[in-house]
Amino acid sequence: MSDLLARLVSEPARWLSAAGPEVRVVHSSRVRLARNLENLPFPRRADAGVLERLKHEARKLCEIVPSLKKMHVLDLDILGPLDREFLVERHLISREFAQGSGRMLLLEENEKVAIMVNEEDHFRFQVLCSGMDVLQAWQSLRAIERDVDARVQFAYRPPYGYLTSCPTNVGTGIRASALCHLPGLAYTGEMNAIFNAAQQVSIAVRGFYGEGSDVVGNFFQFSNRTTLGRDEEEIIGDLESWVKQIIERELAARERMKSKDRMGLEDKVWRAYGILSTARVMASAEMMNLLSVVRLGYDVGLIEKPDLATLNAIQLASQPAHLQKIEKMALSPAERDVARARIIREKLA
Amino acid sequence: MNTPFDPVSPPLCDLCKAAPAAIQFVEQRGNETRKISICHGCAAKQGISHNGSSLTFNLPSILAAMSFLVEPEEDVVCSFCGLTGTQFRENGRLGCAQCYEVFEEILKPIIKRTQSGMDHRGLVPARLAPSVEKAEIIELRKKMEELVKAERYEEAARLRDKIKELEISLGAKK
Repeated sequence: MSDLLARLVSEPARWLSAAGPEVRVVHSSRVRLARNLENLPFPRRADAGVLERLKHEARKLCEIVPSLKKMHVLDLDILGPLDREFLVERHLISREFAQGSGRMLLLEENEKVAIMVNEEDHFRFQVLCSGMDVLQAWQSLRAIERDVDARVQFAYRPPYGYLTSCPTNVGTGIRASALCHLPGLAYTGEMNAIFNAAQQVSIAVRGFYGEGSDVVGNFFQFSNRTTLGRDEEEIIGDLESWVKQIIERELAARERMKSKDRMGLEDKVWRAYGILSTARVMASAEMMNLLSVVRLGYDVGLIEKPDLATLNAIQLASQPAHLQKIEKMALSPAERDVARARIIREKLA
Repeated sequence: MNTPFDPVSPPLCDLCKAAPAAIQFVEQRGNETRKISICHGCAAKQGISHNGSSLTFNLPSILAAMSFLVEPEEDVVCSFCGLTGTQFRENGRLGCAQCYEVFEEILKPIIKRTQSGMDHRGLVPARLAPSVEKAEIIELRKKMEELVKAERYEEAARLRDKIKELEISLGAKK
């Protein structure tokens, strides 16, 4: 298990390869499904015995379900806080999941598929893809869900559908999201209008780490707000058409920025690159803002290097738990700022 | 705030349940009315003095006394997981599948407010459908009919092709 984490430290996840569709605007897509088993209390009401039984059930599924055979089993209860935080930073588990007990993560080595066992629901299946690929993520997820459904009894009751701990997930249990980099819309002040429009069409807008997280580096996550009343494909389709509009608006805003003051923008991009590639101390928030400017520069053709995969790798490796695992030691915030600056310089060299 | 009541046969004091009540307070909140009738002794304890036509009292202490009189609503409890209605209201999470029936009254307005509909549309567990493909075909047919009605023929044609594919794969499995 620790071997797997050690391998992950040195390699960025495949979904950060920036090889997916529309990566100039859409960083990554994610779909998750919430499912519970019949005849067992949901994890928040379950005692340690029930949680243990679910972990056992999950292990067994990995042995018999074809699509789960390649999954690694990570028992969160024997992972320390640093390893747990590391998994949060890689978008593989939720912060809430990292803090509780009786939990297990099933993880594909390439990090595309992750299944949280005993989060708020018994199972939270998740698929991550590079770029705008919600449909592909859904199809992969659907295949796994179908395999598991053939071997267990998921809690399901008409008229509600699949039953979940929180009524905001009931029905399909699906949450599809696209993480978008929107410096153009943020710079031209259009984000407020977008927040309002999103409200009208049941789209939730969140920050970099999803629910409850702040917006950093001009990253906005869009996801379906409702799970009941529309089927999975309608939900995916509605999100796709929303994101398509966002992509068009963002690209138009970038063009306007470029045509209005190309030299000013070019100067900003190279200054940001200059700071990133030479600084000796770098706080996380400053880095996210500078990376956003360089990313924009790459996307609009003002700078050829670093490419998006490198920018993604920097963003991943420079997070607190990643830094400490790379350096193999506990670091204070001030020490992390120094380590972060060094890692950025190395990756940009 | 204070209203006269029948002085000939006054009710017993709501606080001590012993002496006849002398003063009655009525609290009106919207359509809801709550009354408290108290005796001179209890009134004095609550800081109320009644002197001829003038009445002095401490409003918060009266309201607090009235709140004791409201019978606590019986809390609904799920017999499977033990979750109470109060706990559900506090943290918004249900405890098990049965909770969906037990707390239906609290749940329905929440679902109405937060979701796009009251009925599930979409996947069904294989055990509840003759086969997953069959369930999918039924669902797709329904959708196709809706699309035809809405004169969205191109999308309907795409679904027709998908249904055909599924029917072929279903046939092949037989």
